[in-house]
This record gives sequence, structure tokens and C-alpha cells, in this order.
Amino acid sequence: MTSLPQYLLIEAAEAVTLVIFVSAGLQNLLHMIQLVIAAAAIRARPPIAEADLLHGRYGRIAPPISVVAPAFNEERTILATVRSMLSLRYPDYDIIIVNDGSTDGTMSLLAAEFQLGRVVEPMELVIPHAPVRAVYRSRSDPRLYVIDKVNGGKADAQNAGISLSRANHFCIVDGDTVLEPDALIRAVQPFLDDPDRTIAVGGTLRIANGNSAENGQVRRVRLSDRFLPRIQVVEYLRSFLMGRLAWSRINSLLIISGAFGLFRRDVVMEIGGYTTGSLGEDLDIVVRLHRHMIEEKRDYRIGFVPDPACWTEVPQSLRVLGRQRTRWQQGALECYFQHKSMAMNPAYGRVGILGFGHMILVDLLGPVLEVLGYFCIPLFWWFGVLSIEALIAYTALVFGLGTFTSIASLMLAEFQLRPYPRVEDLLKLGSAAVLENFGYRQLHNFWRLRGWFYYLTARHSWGEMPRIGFASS
Amino acid sequence: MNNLLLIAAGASLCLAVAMWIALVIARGLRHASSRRRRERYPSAGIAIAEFCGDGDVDALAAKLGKLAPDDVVEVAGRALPFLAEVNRRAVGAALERCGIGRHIRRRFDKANEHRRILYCELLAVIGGADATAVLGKATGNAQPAVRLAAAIALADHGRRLPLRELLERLGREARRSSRLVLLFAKLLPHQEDEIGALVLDRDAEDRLRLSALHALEMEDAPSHREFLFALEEESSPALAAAAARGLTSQTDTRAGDTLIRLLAHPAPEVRREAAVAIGRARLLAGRQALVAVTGDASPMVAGAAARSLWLLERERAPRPVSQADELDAAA
Repeated sequence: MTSLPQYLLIEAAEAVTLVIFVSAGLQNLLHMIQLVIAAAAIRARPPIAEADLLHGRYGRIAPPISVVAPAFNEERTILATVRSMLSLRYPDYDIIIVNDGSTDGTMSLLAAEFQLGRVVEPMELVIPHAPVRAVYRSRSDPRLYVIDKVNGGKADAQNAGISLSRANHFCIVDGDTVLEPDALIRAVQPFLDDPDRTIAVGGTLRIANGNSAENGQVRRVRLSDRFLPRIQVVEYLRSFLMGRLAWSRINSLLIISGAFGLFRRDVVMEIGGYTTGSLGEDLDIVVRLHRHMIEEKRDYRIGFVPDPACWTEVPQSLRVLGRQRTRWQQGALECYFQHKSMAMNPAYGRVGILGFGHMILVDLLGPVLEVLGYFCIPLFWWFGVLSIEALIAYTALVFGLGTFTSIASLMLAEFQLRPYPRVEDLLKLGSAAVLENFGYRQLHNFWRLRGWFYYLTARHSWGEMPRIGFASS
Repeated sequence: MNNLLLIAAGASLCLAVAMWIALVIARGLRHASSRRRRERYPSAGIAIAEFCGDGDVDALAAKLGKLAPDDVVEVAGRALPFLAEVNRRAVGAALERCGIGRHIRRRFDKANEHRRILYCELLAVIGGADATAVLGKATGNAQPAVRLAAAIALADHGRRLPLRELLERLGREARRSSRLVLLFAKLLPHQEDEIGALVLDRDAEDRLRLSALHALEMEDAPSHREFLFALEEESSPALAAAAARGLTSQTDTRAGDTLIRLLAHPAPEVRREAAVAIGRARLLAGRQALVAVTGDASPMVAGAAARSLWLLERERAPRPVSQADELDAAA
């Protein structure tokens, strides 16, 4: 015979368990659906291995593009980044590096290496940004411009770059990114297929740790010897090849990575450029683009190309990675609460229901419920509320399906892109896909939970990402 | 319920492990075949490059005939856009002689979108009644990009095509593509009048008209300039804005006057393009009109006008001062 409080406790425990189970099940179901959509998309339109074909096909009609890269204290990587930009294969482009008040040698390195000379260039004063000290142009390569401005944050620097650009398409790149030589011709395809409706396109990021570069180009592709970057390779493949490709197919892609994204300048200017001070400016701008186009009742598309676009360095230490993931979570929360009127609102169509629904389930509730599950499920079992079968079922559900999704996205990558040439790299990636479920996944959820805490307590910091730079081959 | 979850989770775990093992084995097998392919692959490229030197079609056909058809297709597809017209036709003849045309016709329906586009590009140079039949059928393909590639390939044969019917057959999705410009550019030598009529046809879709205009510009057609002036009265903002962009490179008074008049166009995108064009063309006569537009209700127009005004001010009296000072002076 149980007393009323005991009965209520058991009922509550069962309800909590059910919510945790349903949430985990739904998240995995969503991943499966994404996997199927992404596989269908890649099968219907596989990435073209030989870029010469693209140049022959699109070279004559490719629109001019400005490549905009904000740089803040990037002295270790900036030269490699600019060299990779200068060696891009694209008929008509210029490069705008925005030195956002760096306190290290970023500006002097650029000035010396590329023979910068001061020029007077008009900037379109539509999007506000921090004052510009000077605009420079390279004497060795006139395609390169450098804006030296007062520090205002990444979004502010991006706005300054957009203001200077003349082309109606701009490509946002991070200051630590090394571009693939054919990144632009690959990314511009959706714009050429549907120039009136396409307003933004994202590209696939690949992890540079472990590779070696020469003259701004990745020469030798190798998986990092360290475990943490390897896990991030699996994460990135899952996120880009599975998640983003699937969302773009249903025109509900909510994020284009700040490390590589191609946008139509006129539409970005209509929404006032990037939001300064935002921790998730890449998410914010895409959500605002969706909002603007839907509210204006304009037909539009935000696309994604699975072809590899660029290489970026990822954190190698838990401390830095934790800080990065906490910030990403803060950015997601900031964006969600800023645009919460769109969430589950049928007026915003698929973006409101599917895109924001996914955001609520995976980004908002996901870490909270999963961490709650780590504590509550064993606790309920300990107190006899849950059976041992239920405990095992929950654990198996979380880990089994998680591993399946990771391996399946590796498979997707392998058949279409073959990201790493060596068989041993594939073995290492497979083991990382399994092992990430034991320890890393829990830690990741803890970082995301910390993001919630920081968001609620209004702690707002970008933190620093120490760079190691690209090894020379 | 718990058992069900356990079975699902266990099955997915087993499947994941099986997939992983299969993946590693497949990679091993692929590694061996790709090495063989890598050795074969440049041979086709070298054969085509050598041909461009000596022009011996029979020798090229003999060399290509020894290679795997898929390799030849890939390399020939990459080489064709960069070959001179005379070499393109001769390579096409060699491809037909060594059986690539037959290979393509047989494989066409089974290939993916990318391959079909590539096949269309090769059929364009191979030519002949068989190729035309395949291409004609492909203009009704389910994939818009393939339909368009087939139409471009047909136009590449250098014959007149029933333009309106062809555009109808391509469908709305294909008509949205920028590659339509290439189709019009290929048709231009034989059908300039029809393409010109399309530019002025207010019933046609904007994208079609823009592509036709762009093709005239790309091929430097004599009628292009007159069409730009004709579009001044255009009610479609996209066309009027394109006219403003096109007039940037026209330096005479008539173009300048047209651009100044376009500053008063009801559509903000046209006013913006006109403002940008006046700045780029360094059209000093447009200074007063630009000053008026700096107070435009659309910040995009006002911003573009301010930038152009600044350029004109520098043109008038170049001096190293800050942009803010210049804008104040201009205002």
C-alpha cells in the first residue's frame, strides 16, 4: 500500500521518464529523416569531383563576388587565409579583409606581405559599423583590399566589408579559414540555377587540424592524431552532410556557417546586415533572411552545397572547445528568443514549424532533457520506480541510434566525397563515431547546459581561440 | 515497450558496426581500382592535348578507343570548353569514331543528373542525327538542368530552333536558370530578331527577357544598345534596373540623360541601380539629381546615391580628405 505522496512521486517520475524517452526518440527519429533526405539529395545531384567541368559550364555567366573576411588577432593564420583566397579559381572576384582592431601583428603582416597602399574607397553607408581608420589595396595583387577599423566585433567587421564590396554577391569567410581553390564556383551553382530566388548558400566546412598547407592550399589531407579534432570531424560531417543538406532541401536551413557562406548583397542590406554583438551572428542572419522574405511574401531559397568549400581549425583542448560550444548554445538561445514569434507559427511555414521545431527539440530542450536523463533514469531505477530493462533500453536508445547516425553520415561522406584518402583514417573516424558517445557526448551536453546558464545570467563573451596555424608540407 | 526499444537500439548498433566494416572493405577495394584509374586517366587528356598539336582525327580516335569510355567522357568533357571551335568539332568526330557516341546514347537514361548534362555537352560536339534525336528527347527530361543542357547542345549544332516552343518545353524551372543566357548566345547568330523581340515582350517572364538582354550584351550584338534605351519606359523593375546597369558602359549624353531620368523611376531598385551607374560612369551632369536622391525614402537608394556623389566629388576636385567630410560637402 503506497501513500499519496509516494504515489504522486512515482507518477511524476514516470512522467519525467516518458518525456525523456520521447525526446530522445524524437531526436533520433529526426536524425533518421535527415539522413534519408540528405542521401536522396546527394544521390540525385552528386557533387562534381572535377571542377574543370564547372568552370567550363558556368565560367562565362558566373557573377562577380566579393570575398569578405573579418580578422581579429589572426596573425598565425591570416597569411595562409589570404593566399588561399588569392589562389581561388573564379573568373571575377575581389577580397576584402577587415582588420577588426587587432592588437597583434595581423595588420603589419598583411601590409608587409601584400605591399598594401592606402587608397580612398567609398563605402556605402547603409549598414552601420564602427569607424574605419583606412582602406588599403595591395600593390602586388589589386584584387586584395584591407579595411583597418576600430574593433566592433565579428558582425561589425562583416558589415564594414559588405559596405565596401561592389559585387552583388559576397562570400563571408573566417579569418582562419583556408578555402578550396574551387569553392566559389561550386558554391555559386544554386545562384546560377535560380538567380532570382536564391538569396544565400552555405558550403561544407572541413577540419584542417592534421593537414599541411603550402601557398595557401591544403596539400596533404590527414586526420589529426589527436582524439578531440577527430570527434569534431565526425560531428562536422554529420552536421553538414546530413543536417544542413537535408534542411536546405526543404528550404528550412536556419544556419550558414560564418566560416563560409555566399549571400546576395542587396537582400542582406535590406535587413540591415549582421546584428552586431550577437554571439551567433551566422544563425541570426539566416533566420532574419527567412523572416524578411516570408513577411514580404517573396519567393526565395536558401541553399546548401555538399561540396567541400573550406578548411578550418578546430579547438584541440577541452577548455577551448567547451567555451566554443557554450557560446554556440548561447547564440542559439539568443536567436531563438529574439525570433520566438516565428516558432511553431504557421505563418512562417516550414521555417516556423520544422526549423524552429527542430531548434526547440534539439537546441533548447535537447541538452536539458538529456542531462536530466543522465541523472534521473539511474536514480529512478535505484529507487525502484524504473525497471532495469527500462534503464538499459534508455541507454541503448541513446547510444545505439547515436552511433548509427554517425556511422551513416560517415558512409554518406565516404561514397560521395571520400574526405580522407587513407583506410586507417576511416578506421579512426569509425572508432571516434562510437567512442564519442562515451564521455564526449555527456560533456558536450554539459557545455550546452552551461550555455543556458550563461544566457540566463547574461554572461556574454566570445573568449579566445588559440590558433596553431597550418603546418607547411 | 522496453524490449522493443532494446531491439531497435541493438539492431541499429549492429547495423552501424556492419556498415562500418563494409565501408572499410569498400574503401580498400576502391583504393586499388582508383589507382588503376589514375594511371589510365591522364592518357585521355594527353591524347586530346596531342591532337590539338597535330590534328590527326584517326590517331586520336585510335588512342581514345583503347581507353575506358567513362574516362574518355570525363576528360573530353573537361577539355571541350577550352578547345577552339575547329578542334571541338574534330574531337567530336573522333569521339563518334571510337564509339563514345554509342556509349552515351546507351547510358543516357540510366545516368545521374550531372552525367546527363555532361553527355549533352559531348553530344553537342559529336553531332549527327542520332545525337540530335537523343538531345531532342532530353529536352523533355524530368530534370530541368538536363532539359536546359540538351537545348544548349541543340543550339550548339548551329541551327534555327523554334524558340517559343523550345522555351515552353523547357518548363518554368529550367527557364529560371542563368544558363539560359548561354542558350540565347548560341542561338543569336541565327535568331537575333526573335531574341530581341523577347527582350521587349512584356508578356514574357522577366528572367527570360533578362537572359535575352544579357546574351545580346555577352555577344556584343549591335542591337544591345538600342534595347537598353528602349527599356527606359519599362514597367518591370528588373528590366529597367538591368538597363541602368547596361548603360553604365555607354558614355554618350543620351545614356547619361536616360540614367538621370531613371533616378525618378517608381521602383527603388531601379533608382538604386541608376544612382550606382551614374557614380561608376563618373557622370558629372548627374550630380544635382543625385543630391536630390540622397534624401530618398529607401535607405538603399540614398546610400548608393551618397556613394556615387562622393565619387563624383572626387572626380571634380580630387583631394585626400575623409569620406564623412566629402559627404558633408556634397550635401
